[in-house]
Amino acid sequence: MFHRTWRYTQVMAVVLIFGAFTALAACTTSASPLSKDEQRAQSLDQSLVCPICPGETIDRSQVQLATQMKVILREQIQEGRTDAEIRQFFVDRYGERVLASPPKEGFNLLMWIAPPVGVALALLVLLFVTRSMMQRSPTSPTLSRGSSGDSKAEDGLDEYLALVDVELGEAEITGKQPGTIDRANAADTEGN
Amino acid sequence: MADLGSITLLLSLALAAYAAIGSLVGQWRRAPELVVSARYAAYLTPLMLAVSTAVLVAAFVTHNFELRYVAGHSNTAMDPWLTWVAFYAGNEGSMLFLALVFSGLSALAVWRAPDEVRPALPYTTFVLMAITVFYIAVMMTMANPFFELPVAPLDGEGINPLLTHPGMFFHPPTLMTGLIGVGIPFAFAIGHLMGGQKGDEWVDTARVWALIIWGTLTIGLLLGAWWAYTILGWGGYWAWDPVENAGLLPWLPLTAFVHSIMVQRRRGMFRMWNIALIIMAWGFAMYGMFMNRGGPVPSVHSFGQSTMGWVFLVFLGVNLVVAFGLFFWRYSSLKSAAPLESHLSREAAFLLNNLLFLMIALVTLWGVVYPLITDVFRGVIITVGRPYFDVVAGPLFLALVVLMSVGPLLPWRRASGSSLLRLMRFPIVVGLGTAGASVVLGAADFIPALAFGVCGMAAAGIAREWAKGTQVRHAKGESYPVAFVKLVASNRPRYGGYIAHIGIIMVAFAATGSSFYSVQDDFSLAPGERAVLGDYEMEYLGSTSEIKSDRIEHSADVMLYKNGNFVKRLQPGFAFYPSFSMASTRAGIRQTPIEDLYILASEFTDDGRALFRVHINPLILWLWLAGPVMVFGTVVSLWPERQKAAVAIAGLRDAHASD
Repeated sequence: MFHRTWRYTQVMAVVLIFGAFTALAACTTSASPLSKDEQRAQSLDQSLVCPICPGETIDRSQVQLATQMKVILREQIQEGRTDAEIRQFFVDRYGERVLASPPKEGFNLLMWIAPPVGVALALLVLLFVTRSMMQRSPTSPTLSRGSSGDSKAEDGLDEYLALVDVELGEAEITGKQPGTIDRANAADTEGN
Repeated sequence: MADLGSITLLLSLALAAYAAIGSLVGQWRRAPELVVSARYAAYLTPLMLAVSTAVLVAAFVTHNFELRYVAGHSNTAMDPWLTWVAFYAGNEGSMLFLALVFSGLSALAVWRAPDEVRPALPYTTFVLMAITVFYIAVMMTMANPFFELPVAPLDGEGINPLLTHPGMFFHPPTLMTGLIGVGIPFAFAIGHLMGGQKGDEWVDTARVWALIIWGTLTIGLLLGAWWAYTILGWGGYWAWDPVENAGLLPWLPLTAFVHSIMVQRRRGMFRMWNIALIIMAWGFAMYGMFMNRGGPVPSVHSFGQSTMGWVFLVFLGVNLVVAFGLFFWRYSSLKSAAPLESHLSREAAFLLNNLLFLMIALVTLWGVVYPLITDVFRGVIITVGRPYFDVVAGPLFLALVVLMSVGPLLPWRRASGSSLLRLMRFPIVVGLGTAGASVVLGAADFIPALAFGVCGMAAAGIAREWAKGTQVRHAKGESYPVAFVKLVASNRPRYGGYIAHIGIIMVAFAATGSSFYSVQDDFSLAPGERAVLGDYEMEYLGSTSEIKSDRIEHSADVMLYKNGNFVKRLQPGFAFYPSFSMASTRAGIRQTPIEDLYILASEFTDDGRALFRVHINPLILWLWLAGPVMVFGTVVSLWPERQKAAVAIAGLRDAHASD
């Protein structure tokens, strides 16, 4: 009886969340009404900044120069130039800073490579640190806290949540007193 | 009147200095009277600054152009409502506002400090008041708002046109409060180190303040995005601009902090790490204030250019050196009370969360400083903009949302792989379903489909937690709504956090939709002509111009149709301010939960034609709705808890026994 109602709400929840997300996502993801050339032109617009307005790409800027750049860019697409050629045309005129982000080559490779390398290194460091944390024994067995009662309340909460898991049939009470089980134990028994 | 402002400013400096020195000396010399008197000085400081602020506001409202600052940032032509908030339009007033807010929060923090932080409170007071002294001193020497001109001009120069927006009432105060407020939890951490406390006494208080400030900063950032969307006139809300980044940077370690502080609260772990995090958050917050006060990088948002940037940089350096110096000095007393037991535990999930937030902050900072590097080493000026940040920070944000669906389901201490799989079954199903369905319905690209799926997965994780708890309470005889409300009330930090998570999912959802599926096009229309974009058709009826004392307002009259049906009449336009040779835009927006139709009228030519830029921006509304959701979550988290858990457990245990 209990389990049947649980499944029912679970299914309802799936339907609701799922429905809401897909309905909204779907409405926004219909095909673009723009022509292929215009789509290409706009993605180029987004990769070029207007040289006289700090940090604004030409698709956003409303300055005259940005409008002229957009016109030139579209003419060059009509002439059949490649994206790289078009970007180079503007770099030759205004310098490297006309690109919204530097190209992935030469000295600028440093900028693009540093973040993924940094993230990878940080993950490695985290792995080493956590491993050493797992081997280390605690310096003090109890928490030295101020006069706060809520660590007790939270311990109680864990019991409560463990009981919730038991209620749901996701865990069984181990041989201990109900008052001493914690979530970790509940999780372990779940795995059995 | 202006003299009164100067006098109270000077008094506030004296009081703050006394409070800082008195706290420290009183503590060292074991003179409790001195400490107490210093505390009262700390209470009086914001009162003095409040008088100064009131004088400055009155000067703006009454157009007292004898004050150089008032003459420089207002005029008689500006809208009267705006004069009430114009005082933080420039450097001098912003400094006053920052000093007022910070000293006010400091006084509140000292006054409401619970017993467990009392032993270190004089040190905390010292840190708080030293920061206050810095702001007041810099203001008085380099940016005094009460500087009087020898001859009062007949009229002022007026306010920056981009600031003439209702957002002026909300965005600058919340963002500035959110930035400077990071100093409050920072001061509790430093006070803890200075006092040589051994335990976790500072943690509860710092958590409360960090959450308040987190909520404020979040709202400040969202309001900034909303303001940019409606007035800067580029159809977007976030451009990875240097000043926007400066606001985001402190938000990242602060968010990491409000998560990892829970681990210290619950398990006595990560003691060093939490202190390092809050120091970093404060460092970034000071960097943010430095960027807004005349930073070296050009930006569309630099309103307060000045030469005081270097002072902030020096202050930032001193703060970091002192804070990390203390940190290493006290390093040995910050040992963890418990070991990490498993990589599959909530503790480990929190660590990964912290790492991801810090990595986002670092790669963002890297993008901000890289142009300076090329300038120095190659002598080439380059731009680092959206393409870099999207590619580099985007995946990290996505990883955070994935973690958000796993982390809350993990138990403390350790879990087994199979139990994790069981916990994750429901979120994974929903995530795959959402991703699959959005592909079927037209999301042609892999990345947005993945992002939508991840949003669905995270929402499902939260729903599962709520459903589970509610179900148990319902089985004990409570109706579903009552069971749900009582569940949330039973552990407010936890369920308040989930509500804030929902807000984050909404932001991720909106960001995905709007960055991958926005469409825009330009049209030049004569009156009576029509243009089509997607399902929408607009008809340009004509334009009107109105000359006001300080500006010329142009607006277009546009009828909007969708699939042939009339939906809304819009008046996009702009106001041109000749004295600034600048325009402030008013977009015409038709907003629905699915998408915004956003029209800018950028130019009206003499032949009667108008130049329009039309955007279809999907899902933007969800971004603005996320704000109230996150505030609500923060409030729920902070709401004082009564000791109900014991009762709840007793009830459940009885019920269990009778089963």
